[in-house]
Amino acid sequence: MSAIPTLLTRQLHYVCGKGGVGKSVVACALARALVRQGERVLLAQVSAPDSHGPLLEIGAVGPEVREAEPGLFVVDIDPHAAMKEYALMTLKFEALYRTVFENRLTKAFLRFVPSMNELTMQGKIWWHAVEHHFSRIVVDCPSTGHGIKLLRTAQVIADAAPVGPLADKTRKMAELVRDPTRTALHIVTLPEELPVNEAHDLVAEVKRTGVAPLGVAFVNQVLGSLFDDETRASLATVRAHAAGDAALLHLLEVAERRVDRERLERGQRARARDLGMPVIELPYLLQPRLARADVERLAGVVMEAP
Amino acid sequence: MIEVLERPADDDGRRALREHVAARRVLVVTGSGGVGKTTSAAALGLFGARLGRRTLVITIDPARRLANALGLTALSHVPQRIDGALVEAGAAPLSGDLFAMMLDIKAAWDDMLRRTAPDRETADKILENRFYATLSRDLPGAHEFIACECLHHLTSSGDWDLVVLDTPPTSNALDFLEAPARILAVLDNDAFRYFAQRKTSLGLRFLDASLVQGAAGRAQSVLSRFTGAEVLEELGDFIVLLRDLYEPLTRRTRELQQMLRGDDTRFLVVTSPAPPSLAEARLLLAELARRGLPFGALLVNRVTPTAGRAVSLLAEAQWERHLDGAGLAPAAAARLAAVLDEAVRQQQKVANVEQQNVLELLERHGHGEPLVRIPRLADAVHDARRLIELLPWLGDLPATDV
Repeated sequence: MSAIPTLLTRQLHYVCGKGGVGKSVVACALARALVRQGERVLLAQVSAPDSHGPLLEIGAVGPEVREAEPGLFVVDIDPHAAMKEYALMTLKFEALYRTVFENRLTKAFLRFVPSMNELTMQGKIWWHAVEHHFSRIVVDCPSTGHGIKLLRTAQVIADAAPVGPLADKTRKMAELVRDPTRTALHIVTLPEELPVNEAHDLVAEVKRTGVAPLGVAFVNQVLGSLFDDETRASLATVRAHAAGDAALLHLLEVAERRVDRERLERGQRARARDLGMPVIELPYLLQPRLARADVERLAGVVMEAP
Repeated sequence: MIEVLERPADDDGRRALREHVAARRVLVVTGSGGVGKTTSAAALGLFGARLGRRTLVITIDPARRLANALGLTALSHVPQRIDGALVEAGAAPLSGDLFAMMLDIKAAWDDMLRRTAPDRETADKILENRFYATLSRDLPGAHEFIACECLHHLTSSGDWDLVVLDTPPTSNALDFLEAPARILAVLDNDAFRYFAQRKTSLGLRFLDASLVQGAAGRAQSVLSRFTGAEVLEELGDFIVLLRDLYEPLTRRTRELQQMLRGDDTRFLVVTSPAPPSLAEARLLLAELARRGLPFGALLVNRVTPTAGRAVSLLAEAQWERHLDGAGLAPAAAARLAAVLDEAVRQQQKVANVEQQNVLELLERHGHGEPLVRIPRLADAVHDARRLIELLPWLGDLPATDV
């Protein structure tokens, strides 16, 4: 298990996890932490509704790479735009691209080649990694099937198409993604039973398929413990004497709900530490909508991780 | 003073939901991942059985949550009967049967091919094709396609009064609805016809220069440089094999689409009060309306209860005196008071944020939508007993509002 600062020196960072665990916030916080360390960072979202723009307060993120602020580049990798770019790289000429790719037959064909969208998105990430001299790339993976389908695509295609130019490219992509000196697959989870189960499943699958080297487990939205042994004991004492005081009973109900939740949360936090990855716990920010200040606060937590 | 946002009662929403569970034949449970969709589907299936209906819950969830929630260790591709005690617990209104199954994507594809292919030989050839394996496993939409196909197969069998479908977790939940049309569009296109015409008794020779003509041919030849020739050749074989499946699959897809738009079906949207889930729920509601698919109710899971009455207490001058009767040492009482104050403050803050988020969704989508709120239970629902605890909020057992 590498220390977190060492893990963060890798070039390619995939942020994975089920929907709703706060992957985008973590990806933004990680990107901001890396920028604050002086890196030149590309933060990519993958054909998702734009979540990075509002979180970082940098305006809309589009399919063209844009330097949103010094050191931080953002892009939304759209499969169609990526496909065009990928094809242009391979075919070199715009006119040839149009002849081939604007053709109805080809469009239909490309939709039929397994996972072509994922492949081109992966290809675009690979291209940025190889050609573009970003010192760090943070990819906010899609939620579907843990998002590692995207990472596996290159290998799947390389297996299905063992020869030809497509195969060469996909094999190189798969090699980069598997390289433990250049890539880290981070997992985002919540301190709740099912998300932690899913994180364990994901770790098992990543280890089984060897799709990419594991990075950090981010446990997001940690409420933390207000109660300790002493206050819990006091609470029990008050409860034993509270009968008949209706107002106090309501208050105790809230407190006991909280104690319960803290107990469960501690259990799940412990299970997250059993993932076999270094853990960064991020606090639950009681906000209707997270914004830049919240991202910076979380970036600070990432930077301070031992 | 901590602000407490008001919450209207959900009686209308629960009444509407109960009517759907009692009368419809298909409930499609949609929503983004991680909002308790599978658990909601299980609870709705249980509710259906408790209303006397022969009910089947289908999940595609690889995490096996449905099995856990229904008190089973595992689910299989074959419908399994769920313990009758669960169906009858807590004075059920009536008693039907509850079954559950987990869609095995590979098995469902194989099954569908055997049912649909004109003969065994064609079916076997397709099953052996390398593209078939990748298609059924990795083609985006493949899982959704087979889920729709399976839904059609099961609802038209006449075996079930009610089928509850837990849709696959997708980043874009609408993929599920589009999958059959999209996959069939692929089959019914120029490439399909092109490959089909090129089929000769000697096999495919479409890369042979003499056969490459016109724009399609030129595209073909450049494409082979792009992907490698063997890939195209094998893909061509595959497409030709699929030719015979096109007709029956199209017919069944049309029938399914009709059923999904009809009065026998309702789409339920499940969300959590977190902004990302609500944003996806909003997209889903708009998209259901756009496609003319019948919306049933919005289920908001894991809602934090308001702490209103505790907040009122904390607003009283010297409320700490309520702790005096317990005889705590003054320092201990003061510590506890501070922690209690913070616990109430935080719970109400979370409750307010959630309430604001849900209201925002409803305002954008119109106030008339049936809404059902389900509180965050102390623990994740992963056994049958806990599933029963959800029923009051769905309109089965008497409920108090969250």
